[in-house]
Amino acid sequence: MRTENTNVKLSNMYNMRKIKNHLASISLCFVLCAAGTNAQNGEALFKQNCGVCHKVGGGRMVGPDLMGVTTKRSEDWLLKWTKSSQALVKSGDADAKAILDEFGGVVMPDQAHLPDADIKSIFAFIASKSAPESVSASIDTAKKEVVPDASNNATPEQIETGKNIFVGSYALANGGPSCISCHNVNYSGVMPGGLLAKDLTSVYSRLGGDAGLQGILGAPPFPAMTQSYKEKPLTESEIAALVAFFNKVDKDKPNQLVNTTNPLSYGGVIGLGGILVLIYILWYSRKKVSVKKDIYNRQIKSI
Amino acid sequence: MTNLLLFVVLPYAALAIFLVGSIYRYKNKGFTVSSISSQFLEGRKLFIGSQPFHWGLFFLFFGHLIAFLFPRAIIAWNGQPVRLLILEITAFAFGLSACLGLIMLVYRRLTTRRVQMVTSKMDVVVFLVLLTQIISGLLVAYHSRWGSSWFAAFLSPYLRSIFVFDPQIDAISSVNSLSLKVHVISAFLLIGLIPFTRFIHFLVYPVDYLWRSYQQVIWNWPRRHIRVSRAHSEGHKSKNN
Repeated sequence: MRTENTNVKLSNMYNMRKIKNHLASISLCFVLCAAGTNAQNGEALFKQNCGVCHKVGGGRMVGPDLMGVTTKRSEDWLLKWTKSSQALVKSGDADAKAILDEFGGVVMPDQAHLPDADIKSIFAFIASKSAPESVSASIDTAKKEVVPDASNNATPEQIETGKNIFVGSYALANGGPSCISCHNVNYSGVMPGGLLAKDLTSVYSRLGGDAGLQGILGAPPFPAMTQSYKEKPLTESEIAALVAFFNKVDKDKPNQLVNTTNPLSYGGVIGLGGILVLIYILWYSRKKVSVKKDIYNRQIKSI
Repeated sequence: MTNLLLFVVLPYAALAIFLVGSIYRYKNKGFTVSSISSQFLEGRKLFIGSQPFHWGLFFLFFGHLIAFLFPRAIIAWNGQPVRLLILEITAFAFGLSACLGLIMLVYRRLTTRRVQMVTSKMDVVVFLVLLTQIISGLLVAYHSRWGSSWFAAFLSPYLRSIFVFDPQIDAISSVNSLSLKVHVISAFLLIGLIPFTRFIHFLVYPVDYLWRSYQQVIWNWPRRHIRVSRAHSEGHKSKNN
């Protein structure tokens, strides 16, 4: 009897949940229909172009959480920002400047390569995700995704491997260039790094810990870096080692001396001296005056 | 739009002009394919300027060419920090050498009247383009250092994309370094200027001088010296008359 009762209860609950689910999916359908098929296309585009740094609901990563951003700002403003945030900041837009400052001056890569229609379908996707019905669901899933930063427990060997990958003595499996080509970190035993791109000493906290770095290293959103690792991506174990290394560098920052000497300055001058001496020795006996110098001098004298 | 103009249209225009113009000049005005040497007019400052300048450019030209043709080799070589330092410092030193030499050559033009008489307007253009090219290159190498590595990483693919007629300019147009953009743009300008200037002499480098038998050139010998000299040798009879 009792079991029957519970069975009935359970089936009732099951039905209720089913109905709820149906309602939810129907309302979602409405939202999606309202946004048109754009939103579906937008989801793929979002994952491809924005997902590395942004979430819609679930908190900030490298960039802000985009939940509700389409109601907060005008489409025109968003379009301008997406294409070139720097241009918008430079035009004197106060909101744009405030956002840049809030995120520690980390510039969002320009997405000018995307056609307007694609950017708008991404907006449609964000709008559909931000709609009240899907909010609770997305927050739930976001909570599940949060994982503790594994790099806090990295072994010293892993950190060492990360360091070797950074300087290049550990060759990347797919033949990509070493990090030091473009980036610098302040860490003992690492030679002065490249200056073309950002300094990575505090990148770990700046770009959102494990999750942010893994995203960026897996699919670099910065065009020069995208090009450099196109067809030669970093492997998962390489990324893990690098993240562990960056975590360590960030933590050790206060203990490190900041080395600002550029080896090219003294190296270049010494090298130049060597070249000049070599040229002088090798061509010491070359005829260095013009052929008719004597004749010329004689004539100048006679004038 | 500007990026498209600077990094796609300009390169193709420059390469087309270079190709057609150089062939035209060689076929129709062959005797002007030269740097029109002024060594007869002034020699000492020329030696001081021309040697460091040309050795610098020689090394840098082949350095860029190798990084363009074999980017993987450069990345592999730069794998060890010490090797990266050796390559970068050597290249930078040759860059300084080219810069110093060029400044000396400009100084020579400005101070020697005999050389001024044979200086054309295009020579001034040549000096301006070269100065921009070398100084921007040094600035890039210094302020955005380890250029050998990142050149192989993302500039070689850009240059290759130009040559396979599928230009990819995302990477180059996203770069923050102004001097790098100036360096790339003035490089294409320089290529476009080759047919109209003395730059063209690099196409007719007398490579066979490296293995032909030497010729002794006798300048101004006092007559008495010639009479008593024993430094003669049997000459070869010319074959064409």
